[in-house]
Amino acid sequence: MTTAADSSLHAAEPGSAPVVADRGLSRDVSDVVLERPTSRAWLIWALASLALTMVFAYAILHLFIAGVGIWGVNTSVVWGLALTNYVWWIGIGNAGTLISSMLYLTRQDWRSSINRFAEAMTLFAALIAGLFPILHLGRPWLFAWLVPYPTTMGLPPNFNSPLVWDFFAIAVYLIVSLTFWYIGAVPDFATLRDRARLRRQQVFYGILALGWRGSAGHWRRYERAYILIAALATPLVVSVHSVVGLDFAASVAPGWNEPIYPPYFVVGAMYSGFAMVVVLAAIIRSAFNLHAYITERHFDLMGKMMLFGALVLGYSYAMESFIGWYSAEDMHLSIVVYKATGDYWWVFWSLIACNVVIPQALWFPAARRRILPLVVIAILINIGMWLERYGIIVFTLSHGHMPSGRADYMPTVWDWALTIGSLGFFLLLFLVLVRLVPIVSMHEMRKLLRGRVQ
Amino acid sequence: MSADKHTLVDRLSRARQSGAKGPSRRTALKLMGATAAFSSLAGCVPPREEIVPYVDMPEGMVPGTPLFYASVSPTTGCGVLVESHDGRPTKIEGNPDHPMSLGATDAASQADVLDLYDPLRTEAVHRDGDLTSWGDFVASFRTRVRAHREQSGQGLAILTGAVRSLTLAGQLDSLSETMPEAAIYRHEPISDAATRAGAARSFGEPALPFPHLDRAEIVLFLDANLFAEPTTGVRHARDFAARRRARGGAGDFNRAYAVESETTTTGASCDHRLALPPSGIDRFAHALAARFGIGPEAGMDSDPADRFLDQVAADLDGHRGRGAVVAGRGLPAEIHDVVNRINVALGNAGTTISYLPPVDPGLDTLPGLAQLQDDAFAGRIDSLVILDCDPIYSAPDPERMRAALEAVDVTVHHGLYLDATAKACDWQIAARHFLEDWSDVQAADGTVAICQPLTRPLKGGRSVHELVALMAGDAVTAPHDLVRRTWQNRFEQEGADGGSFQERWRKVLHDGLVPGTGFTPIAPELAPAPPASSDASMPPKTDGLEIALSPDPFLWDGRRAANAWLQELPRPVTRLVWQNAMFLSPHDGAALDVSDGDMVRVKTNGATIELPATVQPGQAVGAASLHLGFGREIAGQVQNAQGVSAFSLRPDTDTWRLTGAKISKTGDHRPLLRTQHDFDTPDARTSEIVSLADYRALGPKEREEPPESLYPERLDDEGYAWAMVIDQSACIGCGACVAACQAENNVPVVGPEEIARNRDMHWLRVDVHQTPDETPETRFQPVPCMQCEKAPCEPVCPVEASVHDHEGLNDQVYNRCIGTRFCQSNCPYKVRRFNFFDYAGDPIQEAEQTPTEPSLLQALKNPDVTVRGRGVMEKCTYCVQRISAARRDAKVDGRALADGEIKTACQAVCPTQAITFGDKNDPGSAVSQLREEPHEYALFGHLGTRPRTTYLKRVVNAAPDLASDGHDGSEESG
Repeated sequence: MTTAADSSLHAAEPGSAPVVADRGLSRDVSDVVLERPTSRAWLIWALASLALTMVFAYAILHLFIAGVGIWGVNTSVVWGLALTNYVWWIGIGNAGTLISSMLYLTRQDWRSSINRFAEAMTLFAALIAGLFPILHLGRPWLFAWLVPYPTTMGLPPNFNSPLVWDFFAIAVYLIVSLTFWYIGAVPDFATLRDRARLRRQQVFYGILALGWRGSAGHWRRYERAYILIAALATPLVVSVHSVVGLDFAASVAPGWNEPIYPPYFVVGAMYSGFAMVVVLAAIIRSAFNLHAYITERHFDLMGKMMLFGALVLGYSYAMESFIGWYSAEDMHLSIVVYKATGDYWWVFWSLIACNVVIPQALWFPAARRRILPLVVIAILINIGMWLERYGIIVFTLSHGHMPSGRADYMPTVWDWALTIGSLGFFLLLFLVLVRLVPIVSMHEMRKLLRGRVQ
Repeated sequence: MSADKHTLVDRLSRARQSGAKGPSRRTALKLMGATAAFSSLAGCVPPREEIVPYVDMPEGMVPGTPLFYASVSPTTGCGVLVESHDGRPTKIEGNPDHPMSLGATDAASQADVLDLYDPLRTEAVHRDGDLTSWGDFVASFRTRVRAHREQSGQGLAILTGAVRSLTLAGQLDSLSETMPEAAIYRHEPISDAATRAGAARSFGEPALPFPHLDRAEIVLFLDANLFAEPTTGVRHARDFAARRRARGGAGDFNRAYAVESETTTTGASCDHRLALPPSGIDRFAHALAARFGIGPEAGMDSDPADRFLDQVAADLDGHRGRGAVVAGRGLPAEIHDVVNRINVALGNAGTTISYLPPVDPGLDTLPGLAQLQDDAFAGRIDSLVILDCDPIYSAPDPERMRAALEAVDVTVHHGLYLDATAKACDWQIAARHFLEDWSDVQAADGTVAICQPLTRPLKGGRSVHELVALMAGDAVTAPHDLVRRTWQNRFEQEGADGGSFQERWRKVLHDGLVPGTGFTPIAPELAPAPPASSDASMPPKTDGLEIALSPDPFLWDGRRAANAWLQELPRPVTRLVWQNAMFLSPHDGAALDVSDGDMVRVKTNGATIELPATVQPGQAVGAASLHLGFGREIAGQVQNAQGVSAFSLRPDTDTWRLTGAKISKTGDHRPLLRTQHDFDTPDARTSEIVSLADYRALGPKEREEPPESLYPERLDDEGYAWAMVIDQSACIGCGACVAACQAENNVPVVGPEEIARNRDMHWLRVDVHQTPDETPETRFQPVPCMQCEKAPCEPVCPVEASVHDHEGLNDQVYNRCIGTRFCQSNCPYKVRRFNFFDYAGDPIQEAEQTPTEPSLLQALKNPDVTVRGRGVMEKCTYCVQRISAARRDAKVDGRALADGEIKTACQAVCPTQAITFGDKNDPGSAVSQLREEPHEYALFGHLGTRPRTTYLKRVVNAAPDLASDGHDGSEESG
């Protein structure tokens, strides 16, 4: 793993471009895919994540055979870890596209070295997130009824339902993210095709490269397409998580029925997404010796983004509580008090600590530029954001309007198997990816090195 | 791993039974089809074996249309109407003509139909556990009985519970005549011995006071949970509620007081309640008597109790001849005597209280269990026949009882289940469920109803009448002939008025009761002996906790312990299921360092039991209450029940209070199985309660406009618009509506493990709300689906499984449901229920590994209601199947539906008629009028859900002097 010592070897001034030659860059990056043998570390990680993936698969199989009763959900708390994980993963999936599209549109060049794997992270996270609402169904085999296809029932889905909005939001987000990621990678596939020495690699990357020859015409069309999709993806980043927020806000349940939810969910998603990018960047940089491309400046900037997220979330939490009191609604106030002092007080105070209090350390440049503290803070933020989503679901459902309908929630081993298993699956997908696709965008890095061409 | 318990397979395998295999579904349907053909011809013999298709359709039978037959429940004596679908009895309703039912039943009677189909009921005849035949038994037993008969019955003994059947009583009498030496014993674990003895002291003969609560203006319940009595509770509740209807700004209200240890449905329904330990209740009775010149002057030892006493005495004094003091079975005979004397002194006896002779005089004259055991050990019994009771379970000393049975040469057990006693006997003979049997049962007021079979015995059971006829050497053994003979003789004695016997008999069977059989009350003339002197009568204050025993309102003496519906029916007030617990007051709980679910050990009379404790606000300080009826050893669906039997704590069968018991904490903790954890009042802005004075001062209804809705307004002022109003003044929280809903709507049982995970499936629940005071008020609120006009569940369903129909019902389309559970998460009332597992699938059938043969329990299902599968949400439908049936009938007749034509299951069964259902578009309908009542309110109306189910606030007639610690205290929140 990453240590503070790693970064000192390749110390670069923040704000300056990476100091490597063009040729060296293509070799450094493409060799990871084409030349280097499978490392022992990679194998160990892959086996571990494969094992967790098997846990994930078994938890799903058992779920389908036995029913959602194997989870801790009950008559009052009808939603549990499945939807907690859904919201968490979709949040993780937010940052990649944000980094790629929004930072691209605002010409933040430093994104070039992290956008490729951040986008991949988005894809995988959104993919896994999309599984959870299906697994969560009582009759998952009928999930297709959410799709407005012409059925013999003659009954379209109910467009009043936030779950149908959800379906569209996730589907569109996945498609656009995949397209965006793929278009951005086409020039790099061409590089790999050209550098590959084995026939099968040449064919594989040749197909993926779609006949890219690097002509000026290609580049012109590429730039247009890329900026167009970036412009499309940016509002999607906002919409997908707004819709997730509306799943809750469009209800009458106390603690959910709050207009702050959509923006607060978007910021929360960005926040957890950046935290995940920091963790992955640190791992990749150390594992593939990419210190020259992913520099401390990147960590510093991402640290600042996380600090921004912490402040906005802190404000959101404060407003939630304030409005609970200011509305003079008994139930709203009751839920505010319940969060802080009820059965799940530890969830509330842990999430405040992880999401608001501890990230305040990022005010100090030392915490932002040193990998270890930054990674620790990022992991805590991810835990905190998971707890936040857990709390959103459990606080309200276990403390509804009807006192007689209040009950506790306790996840079972199957809930946890699915949660941990999904992490393993994510890791496995990522590990496979780094062996197939250049993990840093070579053509954008080249562009960066030569100065902007335009 | 605990998680493994979550699997379906595991859940099923835990239901695996070693019990006898029932008839296959095919056989059952054959039998029932044949029964249907014959049972409509009332008066003919039970059908024979041949199965033939209908050549001539039985008169009145239309396939798919249910028929109703009058019968009677042998436990309660209340007349019932049994709904039968093509020969399958599926639902029990009250018989409106029967004076103890008036169309309602208690909760437990609703569940009787489940026992009929219980696949694990004992079958046919077993000898030492091996299946044999009735013929074998007859061959073996007849010679034995003949030998006894030659010695005029010496050595033959019969043990029964209370005998409520006139035919059986007559058979036993004639057996005693032919065999005078034969011994007949009675064992009724929940007995009224003290009540009868008290009446014997007062009036010289045993009697049971029957208060007429519709006539009484002031009622005092002394430890009397009258509404939970199986035999009279339904009638008492109806009479009580008749005096608590607030309508049109007026209300002819009684004022009710309760002095009790445990919060009961009866106590919670009163205007004022005083919690005292058993000894305190005795003191209270004596002190009250003293106010009316009976016994020496006495007072209570605390200020609230004294003020309560003053108020009760003043009210009773001001309403002489219009009040009633009612004493419960747990009080000693001496207190019953005192209470009788108070009622006589106030002129209540004979006006508001009738004294009725006991249904079974044998309980006072025949020897009991102790004598039976002595006789067995002395070798005076060679053959013992036990008729439908489980003495090993309910005896004070089970081991002594077991030894007594072993000391007898041949023991025969006749009962529905293979219980502990049956296992200890040589012969086990399956009894008939009352829906398979002919009999006649006398209600508490003397009214006799005829029990007629609706199906052939599904388990090859034998009627008790047949068994006794065999012993008596009667030539007639067919139960139908025996019952008919009883009434033929009786009608002939009465004379010929009323036409021929056949006509009268047919009418009796049709109506379900024999007219003119009600008891004549005895004249309440006081015997001269005054109560004992003061020193003896004033009970000494005891140290330590007093234990008050009482029967469980549903399982009673354990006779219904095998019934999974009743095990899972939330107990009134505590909402515990599948277990009993020791109720402690918060004060005593703190003293013992015990909180909810902590296990306690109770040691007394040489017996020790361990069970969880629950701290119940409202429990009397110094009293620990325990319910009997749990922990009976019966194989079956209920084997996972966690109740503990407390019978062994009793020194004898008539003891209800224990002093000097050692109660200690064991250190173990077991979370309580209950369906409600938070007893707060739901909506602080809408008080559920209003005082009678305030109610009378209320002007006409001011309807608050609900918040605006984003969705378009529906035009629902054409056609029918179904609505329900529930009167919280009338609701006594008895749970009958929940049981009726379960029976009507195929609501599955989930078992204790699922209850522990908060997954009960009842569509209707009776919420309990308690004020957070030291002496809390308890209020009941039945919560069915609110059928909101702006239902929050509807817009959130992505697949339109939750939709509105044209009559305003909020429908759930099971086939469309994919199980997102969004509807329930958005339901403010939390009335939806989710099938986390395949609850409706039959676990027992799976365990027997005969997947192609669905078990007998499937025959119980109401064919008009969909059985829901795994992963589907379900909820209250306002009994839409009943609405559809009535609408169809009206359409065929070309008329509009009349008000009151549709009764939902909960409404039909409600003993207090607290539930009204109808068309709110019809301004003349009862429900429309109730919706205009000034004290009508919508639960969480401010959310804009516009519920169709609304409530009438509970109106309390608080005494002005007690108002500060009574109900008025809660007015502030209103």
